[in-house]
Formats: sequence, structure tokens, C-alpha cells
Amino acid sequence: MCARKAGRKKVSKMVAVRVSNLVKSFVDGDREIQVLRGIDFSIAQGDFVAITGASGTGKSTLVYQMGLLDEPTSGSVFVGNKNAGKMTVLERTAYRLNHFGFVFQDYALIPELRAWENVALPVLMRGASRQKARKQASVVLDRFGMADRINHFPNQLSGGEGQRVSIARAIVHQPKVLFADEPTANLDSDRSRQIIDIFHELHRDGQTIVMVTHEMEYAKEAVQVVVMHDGSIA
Amino acid sequence: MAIQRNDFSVGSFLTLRYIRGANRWTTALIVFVMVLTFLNLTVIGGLLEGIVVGSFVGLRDRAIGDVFISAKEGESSVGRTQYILRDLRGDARIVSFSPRYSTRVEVITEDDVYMVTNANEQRKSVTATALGIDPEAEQRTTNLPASLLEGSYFSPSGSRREILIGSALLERYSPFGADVLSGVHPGDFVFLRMGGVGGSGFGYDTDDDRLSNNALSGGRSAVSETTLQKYRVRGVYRTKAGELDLAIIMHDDEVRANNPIPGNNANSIAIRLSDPDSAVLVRDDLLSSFGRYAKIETVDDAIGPFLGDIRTVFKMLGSVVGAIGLAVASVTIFIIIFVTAVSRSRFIGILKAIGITPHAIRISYVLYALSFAVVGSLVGASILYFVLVPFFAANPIPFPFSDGILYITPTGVALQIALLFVATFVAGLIPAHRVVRRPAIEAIRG
Repeated sequence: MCARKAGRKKVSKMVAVRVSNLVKSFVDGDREIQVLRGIDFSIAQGDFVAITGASGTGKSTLVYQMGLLDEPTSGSVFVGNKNAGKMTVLERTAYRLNHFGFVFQDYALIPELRAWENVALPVLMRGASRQKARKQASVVLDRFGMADRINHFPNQLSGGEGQRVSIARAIVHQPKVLFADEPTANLDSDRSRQIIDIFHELHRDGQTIVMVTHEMEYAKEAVQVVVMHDGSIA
Repeated sequence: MAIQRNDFSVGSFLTLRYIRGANRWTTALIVFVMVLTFLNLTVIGGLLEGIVVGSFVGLRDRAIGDVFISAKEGESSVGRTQYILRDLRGDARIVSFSPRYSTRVEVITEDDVYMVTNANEQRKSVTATALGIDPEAEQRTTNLPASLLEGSYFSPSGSRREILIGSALLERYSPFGADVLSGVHPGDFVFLRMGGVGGSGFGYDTDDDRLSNNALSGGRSAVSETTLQKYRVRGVYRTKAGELDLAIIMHDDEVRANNPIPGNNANSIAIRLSDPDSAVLVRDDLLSSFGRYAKIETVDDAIGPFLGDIRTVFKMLGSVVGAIGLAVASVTIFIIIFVTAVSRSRFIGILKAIGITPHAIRISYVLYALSFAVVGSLVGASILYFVLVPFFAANPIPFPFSDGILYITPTGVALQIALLFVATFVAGLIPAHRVVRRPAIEAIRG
């Protein structure tokens, strides 16, 4: 692992996600493109990690591997103390539901669902009643200043509002790790600032955050910054 | 991992939102296709079956009743008729009965009788069955007056020397019939020769090649009055009940006078019951008493397997047509769900990313497809029961051998709804499964 550390000194924290000798390749015709080249890396509980680097260096691919959204070509991903390689598709889905939250660059809200319905989905999937899920979603949306937007559809929200709903959906079930893939890429600087502030607030509350960003200005604000270069950690 | 309750909960949650967010016109179009499919499944088969059922109902209601008594094989009449009739009068299950007396009859129009003057010239005639009835009993049993196309029914008091003529004997109702009369209308006269038909011609004097009006009206009889009798046509009827429309109907005493049967036996007796379902029981009771003297059958026995076989074939045809409609609807639903799922594949990836199970996502699309089947069936069933069934009941399709109705049963409709649901389920599941099984990350990246 090679990472530039900033901020507080770590005291033996539980490892939330660990990758070992992680390789991910894609085949393009006759060519094999190696996007991740044997990465060893771990994220401890409570960390706020920014993964940064130039475009095409494998930042998002690494996050998708850690978030169990994709499977590596070789190497291992450990979540908690489980080897993700031995999990079935449904076990990986269940793990994501119970322990991970995701924020995507374009908010990735379901267009047919109102703000609260988007946020309530993970809660419903965990078995809560619709009433309880709605209540929980409303509390989180309220926390992000979206109380008057809970019944709006995604196309009725501004970019910043959409991303706040997306973050609300990602944390409504109190995941162990929040993965954010370029959460500010589609926002102007003011809206971006708001999102980063929300991440700081969540981190202060103990939320583990892994944020992919190509904007060094925001990456620097993380506790730990991982710079990627050509499929490896620089 | 098996499907959990939460999968259904989230699946239905998503379905309701898909429906809410869908384009109204597109939804209406899909529902319309489902309604047409449902109607295609039920109406085509129902009409085809209704032709046969209409024929069966016609035979039962307008010809032979619920139980039918006829001569035993090898006999010419119903033995012990008077004892049977006495028994029928005392049976509370029997609403009415109508004994019929029949004989062969040759019919010749008045014009032909007067205009054919040359002995070598062939006189046009038709051969038919003359049925002698008690008009009131027949009315109670088969409601014969309701089958009149022209003219009027026998009057309660008289109507001797009057006949009702079956439409199949008339050229204007049976244009392709080989043995038909032309130009006969209510009020016209025809000449009948009852019994012994097939003898030596019409009995006019071969020495005189002219058949004079005088001879027919009581002078020197070129045609014997007892052989050729003049009747007034009182009405024309059509029952669409097989050979009945090829008959001439008159008062029973006139047939009996011309064709006396020992013991005053009838040739057949139609019986109407208060409860048609008790036909087997009534038949068996009558058989135990009179089985030696008469052939006693329920309407089903009397009709035999012929109509049943036609009904089976028609049902099969209806099923084939329905199956084609079902296949079209299945393909439509398949395409709709496939296009919907593919166009939402990125969102499916996102749902999977945030932990929504593939089961829940599949369920959401299957329920979405089934919702069309539910609405289509409901609308279709409403149209069927509140519009089409009453319409065809009031306006039966006039087939030559029956009045075609729309024959449907609740069980049949339930089965067809179930078929529609199964087809929709499969048509919804396959495309949903194909899209959902893609890895989440591929779907997210598009």
C-alpha cells in the first residue's frame, strides 16, 4: 500500500475492506487491457479515503471491486473477515445491502420514484414496513435539508438536490462503508462544496467513506488520499 | 437463495411506481391489446360453441323437450300411449307434454293442381311428414307460436283444415332445397295427400287429361276427396330444429283420421320438465314402467353424440384461434417488458448495486406485466358479461341450423384468464430475467 496520509494518526481500527494482489483486466478484441495491476490496499472502519488520479487510471474500477459490484480477474477482496470471492451473487447483493452504500457521479436515482421512495428502497429491502421506511427516509432527507423535496421526482430536483438524495439513499441504512464515485463531477463549485461538507459531517459521525474524485482540491480534504497511476497505487 | 417476503414487498413497491410513471397512452394501448386478447380467447370459442349449443337448445326447447318418447325400433308407434299419457298427467315434475301423430304427406300447391292439365305433365309436389298435434299442448311444451315466421298459430277453438308449414319446405326460405314449394303464403290453399304416399300418382282420372276445378270442388272427382284434401296455410314456422322444419303441422285428429293407429297410439311424445336437470331421473322412472313399449330418452340421449362431436371440434377451433391470439399477446408483452427492461438496464444495475435482489427486480417486472393481464381481463370480462353476452342473447346469429349465441361459462372464462396470466407471466419473466442477470457493473456502465 502506498498512500499519502493526512490528518489524524490511526489507532488499530477494524478493517472494513481489504484487497490483495487485485488484478482486473478487460478484453478488447485480441487485446487484454489490465486496469488494476496487483493492488494491495485496505480501508479501516472510520476512514475517509479519497482515491484520486488521472482519468483511466482505474479509480472507479477499484471502488467497484471493493464495493462488490464487480469481480476481479485475480486477487482477493475481503469484506470484514469474509473472502468475497467465495460469495454467491445473492450473498454479495445482501452484503452490499447490509454494509455498503453507493453514491454515483450522476446520482443514479430511479426516475419513477419520488425522493423519499428512492431513499426508502434499501430500508424496504431490509424488511421494514413502508411506513417505517418512509419515516426513516424522511429523517435522513430532512438532515440534508431536503424536507420540502421528499415528494419530488428526480427530474424535479437540481443537481445538488439529486446528489443529496443519492447520499441519503446511500446512508439511510447506516452502512459500514460509503462508496462515492465522483460525487461532485456533475456539480458546480458551490454544490460540490455542500456535498463535501456532508461527507465531512458523516465522517465526523463515524462513517467510513471511500470517495473517488479527480479533483485534488476535494481529495486533499480526506483523511487518507490514495493516488492511482496506470492501474497501480502511486 | 429462495424468494423472500421482502422480494415481493420491494417488487410490488417498484411495480406500482413503474405503472405510475408509465406513459398513459402506452399503458392504454397495452391494456387494449390485452382486452382484445381476452375477448379473442373467450368470444371466438364462445361463438363457435354457441352455434352448437344454440342448435342443442333449439332442439330441446322447440322440438323434443327434456324427455322424448318415440316408437321402439321396429315399431311404428309408441305402445300403450294412453297409459303413458295418464302417467305423465300425474307426474308433478312434468310441466307439459305433447303427443304427436305423424304420417307421410304429399303436398301440392293449388296452382299446380289447377294449372297442370296434361296427364303427361309432371305435377310439382313435395313429400313431407305431417305432424298432428294438440295446439295447446304443443304451445305449452315447445312454444311453437314463437317459431312462426309468417301467419298465425292455430286458434284454440277450431283451425281444422288448416296447416302450419315448415320453412324448409318453401323455396323462399330454403332456396337451395331440392324438394321445395314456391309461392305458398299464409292464406293460400294447398292439397295434401296423406298416407299411402308413393302409390299410383295423384289419382286423377287418366281418361280425362284435364283436372277441372269442378272435379276438385265436389263434382265428378278426378282426384278423390279422401286422397287429395284441400288445406289452408295458416302460418309458416322455423324452429331450426332439424327435420321439424321439413314437416307440415296440423290438428292431431286430422292425422289420426287419415292414418289410424291401433290403440290411438302416438308416434312420439315431447315432455317438458320443471327442472331439466331431473331428466335422467324422469327417463328412468318412465323406462321402468314403459320401457317395454316405447323408446324413452333424455334430450341428450336423443340428440346423440353427433352434436357433442361437433361441439368438441368447434371448441378445438376456438382454442386454436385463441391460442394464436394468446401467442400474439405473449409476444407483445415480451417485447414491451424487454424494451422496458433494456431501456432501464442502467437503473436495474443501480438497484442491484444498492442491494435490491435480482428476485425483487424480476418480480417487479413480472408484476408489471401481470398488471396488464389483470386490467385487460377485468375490462374484457366486463365487456363480455355486460355487453356481448346480452347483445348476442338479444340478437342471436342466424345460422341456418341454429340461432348462434355466445356460450361462455364461469369456469371457461376463469380458465382463459388463467391462461392469459400464465402467458403474461412467462412473457414478463423471460425478458426481465435476461436483463436482470447481467452483472450490476455492466448495467451501470451501460
